[in-house]
Amino acid sequence: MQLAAVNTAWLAAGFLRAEAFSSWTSLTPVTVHAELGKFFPPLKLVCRLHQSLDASAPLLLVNQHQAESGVAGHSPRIVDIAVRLPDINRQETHGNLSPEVRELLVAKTKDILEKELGYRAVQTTVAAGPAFWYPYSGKTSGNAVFCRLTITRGSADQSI
Amino acid sequence: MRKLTKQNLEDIIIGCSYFGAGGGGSFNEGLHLVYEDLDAGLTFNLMSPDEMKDDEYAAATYGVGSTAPPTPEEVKRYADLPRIKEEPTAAAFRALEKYMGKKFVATIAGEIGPGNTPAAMSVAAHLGIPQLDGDTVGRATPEIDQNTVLAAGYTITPAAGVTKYGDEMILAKIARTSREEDFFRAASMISMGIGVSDTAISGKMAKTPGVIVQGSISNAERIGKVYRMAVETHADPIRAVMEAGKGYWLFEGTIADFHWKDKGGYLFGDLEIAGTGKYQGSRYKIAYQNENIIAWCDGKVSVTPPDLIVPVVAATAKAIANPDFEKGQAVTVLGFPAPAPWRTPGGLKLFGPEHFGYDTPYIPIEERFASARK
Repeated sequence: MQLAAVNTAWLAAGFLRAEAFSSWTSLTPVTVHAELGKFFPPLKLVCRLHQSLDASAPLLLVNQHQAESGVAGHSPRIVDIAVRLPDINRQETHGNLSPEVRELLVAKTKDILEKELGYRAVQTTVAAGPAFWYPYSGKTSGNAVFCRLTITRGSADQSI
Repeated sequence: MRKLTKQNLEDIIIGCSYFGAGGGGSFNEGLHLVYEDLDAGLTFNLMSPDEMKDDEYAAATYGVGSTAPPTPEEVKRYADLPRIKEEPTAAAFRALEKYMGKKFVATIAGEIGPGNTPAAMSVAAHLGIPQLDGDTVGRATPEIDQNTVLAAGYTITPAAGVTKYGDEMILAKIARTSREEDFFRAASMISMGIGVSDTAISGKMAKTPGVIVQGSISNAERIGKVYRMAVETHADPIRAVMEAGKGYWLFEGTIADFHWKDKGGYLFGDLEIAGTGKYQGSRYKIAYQNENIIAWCDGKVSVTPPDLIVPVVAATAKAIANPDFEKGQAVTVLGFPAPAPWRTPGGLKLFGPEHFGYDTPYIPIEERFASARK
């Protein structure tokens, strides 16, 4: 009985792993250049940050004039995003991106790419701007880093 | 004397980006410098010219060079030269102090620009002295000659120049004011830039109206704050900046074409914008020499130097630095009146259309656009 339960759990875990693998492989492979910390983010995105009540949601804005010739057409697609980091004390940083925050941002960016945009980053380059906090959001829920992702079609056999 | 906070400094740099008129150094580098200095525990103080004693001295410090990126050949050519630890601008400031045998009480910004004004402020922070609330142009400018101290009939020499490799030179005397530009520009071309310090002026001169542009740093701060407040209150920051700077809405459109080349230590180029909205069917052209110099609308002169031509990204309100354009990018072009010292006959001789080789008279922007404020 105990053995059967263990086997069932093992099979279920295997099924979930297979599901996850299948979902991962269905993502479009891309190379990403991430600029972390845009001091002048698109104003539409700033408005969305101010207006959005759901503090857990990532905020996305596709740069419209470039999105039409996006990844499928091989020309880079540019996506501006705001990544919320309500728990970080921005006063301590003076606006310089600490390695820990940079890592957190890269991880969150990767998450947004996969879950929101259906892309799998096979190669990522990062440029961290000096002014990474948008300085004009009064509440902690508005603590956000504005980033610009330049997404180019990648190859499935490239490794991360 | 006022100690500047991080937010004051950010406001100043944002404001400076509009006075940069396409040049004036890199916005990101300006911010980076200031953040590094804040992280290092340095303080930034702003001093009014009125706080200087008549016999105290302050001097300008700034970088000279093209805003174009260095070529691989240049990088290779200078790769094995030694580097000094100090910023060339700070080293030039010290070299001028040493030559004149005076301890300067403040730095003066050589212009108002998003990279070069913070660079002067950073030198002051490193030297532990304040930045004077004023500069020698009131905007960014391509040539050393465009200096209000010169326009007021004073000399800007002696001058010191130091390269990042540690070459140090003093220009004790020059045959003609434009020669200082020639000497340092030539040195910058074989050094990928040079730090310069000149325009050592007394407190008495700084307080004399028209010798420097008084209050230009706090004016940049005011414009930056207006931008910030507009964003906070969901107002239109482009319009807010235009109104705060008593400016004009010159054109709207998308970038149709642009060209640039690095020549003689300057970034020369032009930009064409295809009109959209109420400007549909019109073309706007801007020519620049580091900074935007002159603009035409459908072939007719629109704005001439020394008035400011400032294209901004329509989506973000960011002032665009030459040559960071993208074809298809939506832009708005703003125009601002030049500081008063440049509108005098002496000022126009150094900064008017004729100085840059354009055969057209200077007509102040407010006369050209008296009825066109959008």
